[in-house]
Amino acid sequence: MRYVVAVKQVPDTMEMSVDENGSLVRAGVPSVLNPYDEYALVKIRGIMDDGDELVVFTMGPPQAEAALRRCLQLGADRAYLLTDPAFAGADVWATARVLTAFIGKFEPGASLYIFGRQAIDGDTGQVPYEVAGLMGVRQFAYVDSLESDDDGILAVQDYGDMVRRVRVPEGSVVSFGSVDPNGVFPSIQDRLDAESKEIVRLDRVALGLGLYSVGLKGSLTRIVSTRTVTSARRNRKVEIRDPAKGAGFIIDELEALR
Amino acid sequence: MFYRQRIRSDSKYLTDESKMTGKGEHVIIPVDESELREAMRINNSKGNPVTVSAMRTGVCGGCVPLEGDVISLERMSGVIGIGRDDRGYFVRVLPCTTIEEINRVLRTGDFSSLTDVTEGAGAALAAEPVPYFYPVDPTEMNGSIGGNIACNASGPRTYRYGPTRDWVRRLMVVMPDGQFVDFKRGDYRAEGRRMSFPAGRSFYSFEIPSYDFNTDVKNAAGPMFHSDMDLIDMFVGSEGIFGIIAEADVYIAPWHPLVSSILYFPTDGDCLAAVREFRGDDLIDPEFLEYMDGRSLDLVRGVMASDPAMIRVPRIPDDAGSALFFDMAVTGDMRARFERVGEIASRHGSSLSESWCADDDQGRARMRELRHSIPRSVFEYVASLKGEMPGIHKMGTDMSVPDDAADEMMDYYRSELDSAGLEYVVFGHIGNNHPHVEIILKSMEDFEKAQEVYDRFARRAVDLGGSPSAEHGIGKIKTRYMELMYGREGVEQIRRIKAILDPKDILCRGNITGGSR
Amino acid sequence: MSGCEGGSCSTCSTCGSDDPDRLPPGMLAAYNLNQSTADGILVWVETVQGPDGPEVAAVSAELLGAARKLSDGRVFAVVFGGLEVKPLYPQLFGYGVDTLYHVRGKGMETYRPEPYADCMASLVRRIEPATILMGATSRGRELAPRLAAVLGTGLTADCTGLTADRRRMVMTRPAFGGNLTADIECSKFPQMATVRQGTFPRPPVEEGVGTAIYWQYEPDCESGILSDEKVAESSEDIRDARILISLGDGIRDRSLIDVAESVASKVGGMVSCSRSLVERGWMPRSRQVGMSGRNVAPELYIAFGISGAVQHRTGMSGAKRVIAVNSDPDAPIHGFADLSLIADAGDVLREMDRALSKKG
Repeated sequence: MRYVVAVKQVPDTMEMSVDENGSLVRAGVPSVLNPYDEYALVKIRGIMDDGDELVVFTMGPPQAEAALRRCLQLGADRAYLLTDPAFAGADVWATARVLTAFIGKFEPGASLYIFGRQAIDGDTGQVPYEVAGLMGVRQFAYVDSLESDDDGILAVQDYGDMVRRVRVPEGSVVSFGSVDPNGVFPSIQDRLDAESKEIVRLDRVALGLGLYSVGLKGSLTRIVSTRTVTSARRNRKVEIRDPAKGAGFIIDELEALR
Repeated sequence: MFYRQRIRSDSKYLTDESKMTGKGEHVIIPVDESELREAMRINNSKGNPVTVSAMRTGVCGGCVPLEGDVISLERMSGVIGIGRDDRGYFVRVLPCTTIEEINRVLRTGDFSSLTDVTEGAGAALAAEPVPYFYPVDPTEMNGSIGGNIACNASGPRTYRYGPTRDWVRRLMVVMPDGQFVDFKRGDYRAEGRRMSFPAGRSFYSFEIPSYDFNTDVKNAAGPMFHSDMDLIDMFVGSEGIFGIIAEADVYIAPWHPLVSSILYFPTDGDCLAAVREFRGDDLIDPEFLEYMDGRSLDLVRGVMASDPAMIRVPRIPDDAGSALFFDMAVTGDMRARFERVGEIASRHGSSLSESWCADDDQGRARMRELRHSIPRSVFEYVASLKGEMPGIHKMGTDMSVPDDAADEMMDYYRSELDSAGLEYVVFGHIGNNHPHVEIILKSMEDFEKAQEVYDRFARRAVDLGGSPSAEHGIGKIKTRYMELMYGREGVEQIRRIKAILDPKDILCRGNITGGSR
Repeated sequence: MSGCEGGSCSTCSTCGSDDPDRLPPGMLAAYNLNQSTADGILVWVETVQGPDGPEVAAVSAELLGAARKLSDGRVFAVVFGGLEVKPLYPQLFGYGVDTLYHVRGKGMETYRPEPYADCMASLVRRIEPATILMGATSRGRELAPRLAAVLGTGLTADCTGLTADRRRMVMTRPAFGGNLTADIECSKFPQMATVRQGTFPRPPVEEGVGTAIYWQYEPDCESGILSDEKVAESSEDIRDARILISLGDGIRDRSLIDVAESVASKVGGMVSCSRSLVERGWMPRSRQVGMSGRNVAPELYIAFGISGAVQHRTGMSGAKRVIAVNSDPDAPIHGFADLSLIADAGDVLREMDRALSKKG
């Protein structure tokens, strides 16, 4: 069995601060492996048998190699970095095009293609399903757990209002629905083992994609303008030592509502 | 003029992390050194006692007033300058600057708003290829540098970098009468055992105590005295009884990338046996060694779900019976060094697979969080039992011994506590033979037993050539161990110096010597 | 046209040069060349199981109301299901649907993204709508991208606003990187968007007539579904609450959730939370406010111990009044509140509970 996991490097939003204008300060914020992807990786590791292979790939700037390095420490066998200046500014469609082209050319015929639910940097979690649509394979969203039996792989999907148990055919796209906030650590042994593993870099030409199929130029949506949301709230700040007094303030507001 | 306000009975100025509460009349909050001196002059002329306070993170009641006024240095905070001398870069700081703040300023890499103490130092530091940091990590990064100097604080990194004392370059000390002395290391040295120095219009000269301060182990028990000593070393660790630190220069060190690891062992004994091998190994060369016994791990497992600080820490392996936490500087021969770690681990029931490892800052912070959660877990465990046992309490040791006595001390802890039937956890700075033993006291009877055991531990630590107060200082809570270490005569000699420097005995009464009598 | 090397001349339009720069000025506009004839809006009507059979999901109703206002052209709707969906027709026409496609077929009653997307693609090819809208629900969020990929068109997810310039849609969504909203256009027809519940008001059901068309579709693959189990979700939805007691990272003690529930029940509100409490496993995801949770618009939003990260603020921006309780005076939430209390969230919450208990 061969499992292919798509991952992303994201700024660590837990470390982000807000400046006086309310804008996020991204400078100096460390980058991390998207925790949802890390969770997917650890989950899939859990169902693997000896001899199975785990491949990870990411589209991103050259620095995204750090996220792949971490994947290798967490048990991935090989990694690909899809990096090209032309990939910048991609929307969901252009991103899905690159990922699908990669899969078709370099890792076709895997048992499963695995994604995390979403990236914590504001991504809306559409990419896995566009990839599945482009590949023309089945898609399994919000997967809670996977198990394999003699007949293949079984998934439990959590749609919020419904839990679905379903058989997952070979070659499907699977997106895990959750995250482990505690995260994991590789062991020292994992760290040493990862040193000898390889990260292959691929650019646009290697993927056989045209300049107008990728990045901003290949995107089908375009930001035409942005607006600052001005808060119309008249802020009254009260410093309160006595919690009872604070409770009184709030109860007054509640009374006013009635 | 300076800010002066009556203290209410529930004021934060009457307590610190020891939860000891005292009594006081007013709090004085000077904004600069001249207001501080004026406040001292006025209080001295009235003979009104004052106790110095800053961030109140101490655990021995050093800043808790017993009477008179509190001088809070909270507004005298900030990094003000950068300099460079033969030893390297240093920062000039006001006393209430936190260690966190010093490191934050150094991390920014922008020193344009700071004064150059020596010419071009700020620009030179900004141009250094690696960032600098203040290397003494007292665990509590929100403590003030003044407080750290006053009790000669240390922590896990003392294993490599030594205690606070080693990093102090210069002090400006306001004396009890409001005069001040501003001096660098090397400016005033004792001739034999006679120390002399001027401060404003006064000139002081006195015999220093006849005992020699124990520097073989981690030691924060009072000021340091030895022949031909430097005046700096008398103020470092003096806990405010001789003068108030109004400004300081502390050295900083180049930061280098580190990798953090936690190695899990099946039992406490395995871990301690591995520590012995680690300590003597030049190849592994750890930055520090921190020990967590099985009982500590159990406590942490228990609070993990509810402690928000632990939200990003993975679950501790179920079969782990104890753990060793260490940092290593990143070098070219990491593989060989880790393999040596593996050899030691495999001799003691562990392996490189039974470990955690992190190179990134976030991962390393999560490991520190795990270690720091132990004292918190103990606290929460005690709080959780409060319902059934109203008298429950805890007591923590802070004793260090030389390397060759480490095992003996560890055995002694265990046998004494077990035979007294007390519940306890052991964790901490095992690299410096300075584990913290937290004793959980479920009743008044336990409390009395623990008091006795604790005193026996202190005595044994001193007998073995160690210190009963390795990093927390003496304050008002541990004064009885001063006599244990230095004898009645030693304490009396400190009092004699105090009488010369502070004839009206107004400054930080009760610290170190337990008062004038 | 011998001798004409397509696209190199500007004398005739026979070879269909699609480069506007090479056409005589104004010609493209005058003859409306190379323009899609797509028009109208197609809305996917999601149904939820109610006590008396299927009901129209709130967000789908909102979208139908909006589609009526946004489009000069026709409003199409597609609904999946068997005969049990039929009673919904009058309601759907009452929202202004002109043509309703009711997809029937073996295996199409239960939701599955792949055949649903393929079926909708076949519909889209037939009716050529200019815009396709879906609710940003758990199903909409996986169905929309699948359909976008099949159709090869652009998709804007999680919109919080839509405006139309004739057929052209401008989709508004919060942009990451600040408290910005971005206006986004799709460069192709059909334009696609998923829209958050609460973006548009729920329209009144009026008298309306329309055409219902049965659309036969047979899925071409086995579903492999072994079981579908309904989860008893609390019937209350934080999006419907008038008062929200919202808890964040500053809530350090799990028992405070019970205290908050008690306060909420006394004031007739609900308890919601920020992402960290969901990740801690203290609260279900359905109670989460924010970019990865739900958009809420209560009369009063009381944020206890919430720091106010951008992602969270996006979700609470619809609140009429905001009170923030946070002991950190520098927490960004204070900049977005009508009243800020610098106090310990847990203490205030406990006091509120006590005070409200006394009032009885």
